Amino acid sequence: MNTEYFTAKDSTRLAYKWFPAQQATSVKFDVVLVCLHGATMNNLRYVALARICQSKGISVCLPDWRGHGESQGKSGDLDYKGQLQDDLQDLVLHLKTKGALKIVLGGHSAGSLVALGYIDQSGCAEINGYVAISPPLSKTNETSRFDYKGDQAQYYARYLRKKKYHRPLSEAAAKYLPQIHLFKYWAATLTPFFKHSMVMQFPEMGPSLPNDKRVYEYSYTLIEAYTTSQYPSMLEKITVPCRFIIGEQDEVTDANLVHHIRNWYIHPRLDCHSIVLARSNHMSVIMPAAYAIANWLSQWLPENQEAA
Amino acid sequence: MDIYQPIVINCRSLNEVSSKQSQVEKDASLFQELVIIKTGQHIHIWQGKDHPFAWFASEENNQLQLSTHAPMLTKSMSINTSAIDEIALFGFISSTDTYVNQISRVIPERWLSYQVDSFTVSNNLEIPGNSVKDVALDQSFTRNLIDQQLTSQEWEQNTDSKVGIESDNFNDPIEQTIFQQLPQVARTMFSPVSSTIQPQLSLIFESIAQASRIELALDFSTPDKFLGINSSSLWQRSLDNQGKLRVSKLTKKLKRKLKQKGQPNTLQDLRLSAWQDFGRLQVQHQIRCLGQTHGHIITFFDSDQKMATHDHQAISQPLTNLLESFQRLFYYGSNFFKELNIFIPPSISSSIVKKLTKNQSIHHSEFCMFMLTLDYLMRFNHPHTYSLTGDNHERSN
Repeated sequence: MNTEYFTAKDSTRLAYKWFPAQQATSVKFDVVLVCLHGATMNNLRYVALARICQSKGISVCLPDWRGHGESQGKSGDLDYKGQLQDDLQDLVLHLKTKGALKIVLGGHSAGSLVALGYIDQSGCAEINGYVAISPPLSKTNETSRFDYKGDQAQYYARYLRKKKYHRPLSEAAAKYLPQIHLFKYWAATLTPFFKHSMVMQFPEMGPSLPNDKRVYEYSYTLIEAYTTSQYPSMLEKITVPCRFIIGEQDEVTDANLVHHIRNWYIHPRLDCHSIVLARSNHMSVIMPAAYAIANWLSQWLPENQEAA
Repeated sequence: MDIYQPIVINCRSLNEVSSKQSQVEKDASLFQELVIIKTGQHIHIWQGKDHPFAWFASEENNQLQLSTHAPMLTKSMSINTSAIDEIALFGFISSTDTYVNQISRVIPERWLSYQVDSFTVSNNLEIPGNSVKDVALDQSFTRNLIDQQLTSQEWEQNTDSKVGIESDNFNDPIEQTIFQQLPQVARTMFSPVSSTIQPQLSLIFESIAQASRIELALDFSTPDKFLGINSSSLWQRSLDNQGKLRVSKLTKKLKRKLKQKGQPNTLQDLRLSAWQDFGRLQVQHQIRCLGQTHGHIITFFDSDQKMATHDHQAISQPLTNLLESFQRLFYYGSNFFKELNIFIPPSISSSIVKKLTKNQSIHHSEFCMFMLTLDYLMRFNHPHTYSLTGDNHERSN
């Protein structure tokens, strides 16, 4: 494992952890998985995932979002909404120059949505696969596991009728719930001046790993980089094989969402699987998901394709 | 047993065709067959009344393809808006048409004629022997079936998810299973879903492993015994002014057709008449398609048995709640869906939902299923979106 760097369009130096497959040559990497971390985190949380994939012959790249981990950039903010996706374009180009033959883009939690945003922005011409672990389509009530306080008004605005059910938030889910500064949030929605002010405060989650520099405050612009209310039209743009993975006890997202996405919003001719992993939640799903991804991508390696 | 091949009769002249056609219609040995009469560039297709397969005929670039599965779409094909309007109004189309102009259903004892250079047959089915299963279609059968499936599936419901839910029906597995089944059912039938019976039957066919021939006893005497969707007012309310005008022209045309036949002047009369001519056979064709996908050949026999249907609850998981999903079409509907002049902002969809939930005589499930599966077909089974570029895309499961 090495920490390596690439330079983004705006000359910012961005970091990634690099796990080359053991049998790969220094100029050719058959399959490279790019796995983006979730909100507030950095690539340290995903080292075990990378090791599991690496042991199956898959090279893994774990980038730090700009302003996170070892990447340069403003902490918790972006210059503009699509900047993370532009950084991904630069990373994909960098990996191709490095010798990546097939690139599978994806991520965990908000990271999977940043990757989806890349597909929405740039299509699938430069990538060969997409993987989403615990995708939290948080702007849409129907995809959430629980209802939040005050969502009656939101429901009425959307459906023009009264909501007849309520799914109370569990204690386990509450620990992930960020606090939104409503005034600043609405001000940012309406006025460009507030778009870079910090509107969301994430709770601290458990003990940090050594050198684990977390970012707990996010600006409106950064939140916009990974939230969407138009997920069907974004998912329609996926034209490469894909996997949607979630823990059955996910505290943020309704676990059935992955089947829903596969059945309703992914092209029926596409190689797509939806996987619900037993006894896993939003965070603990990372390890078992790593095995599912490694098993899938190892089939793409030339030696395994020849054997098949 | 061998893959079934239709019987092909070559005629030397057009004059010979009509006499051959009447011979085919009367010949009892051909009642179980699909017959193709070929004369130069003319091809006439006829399905015997006891032939057990559902066939599609698709025409493109002077080529005709006959297949026992929904045909491949190409960019030169186009959407048949009248056919979609008819499904919304009646629950079926009053002809052999489908929602794609260049594709027709072959239905028993109706000649389909084409002027094409050549034809191909795509089929991997065999006419089965004596393996027959008589399916009991009561509600407990479907529910038991889904319960069995759930215990063996990877997405078994976690009991924690029921915490705090006000209604037992909130997490009803039958609703969730049927809802997730809808896109596949629409794709297989090559039609939007117009009855809750269709996804239920699909689940049953999927679960029966050991019967190659399934006998279904269903009451096909009137469309109301089978199809819930039958509401021109709901469809009209879901359209913009241009769409309303289109439907108005269509209904006038259909009523003129009735007058020529000397029948009373209402759409309901037309529906009943068209049900006997086309609707019944079309629905049977769709059910056969569902069976064929799972390797079953379906034969029907008339019965006064009405299949127990499951009507969805107004309160259920938001992800699989038909009423909410229907309302979300305003935000998520495909662009092609909009091209059909469908316009259902919350003010309109909310009033439709309130009407559907208040008036129990209207099957709200069917109308919402129809709209959702129509959107799905426009999204992924539209001639202009069907093809994908690149390699390694096919589903591996």
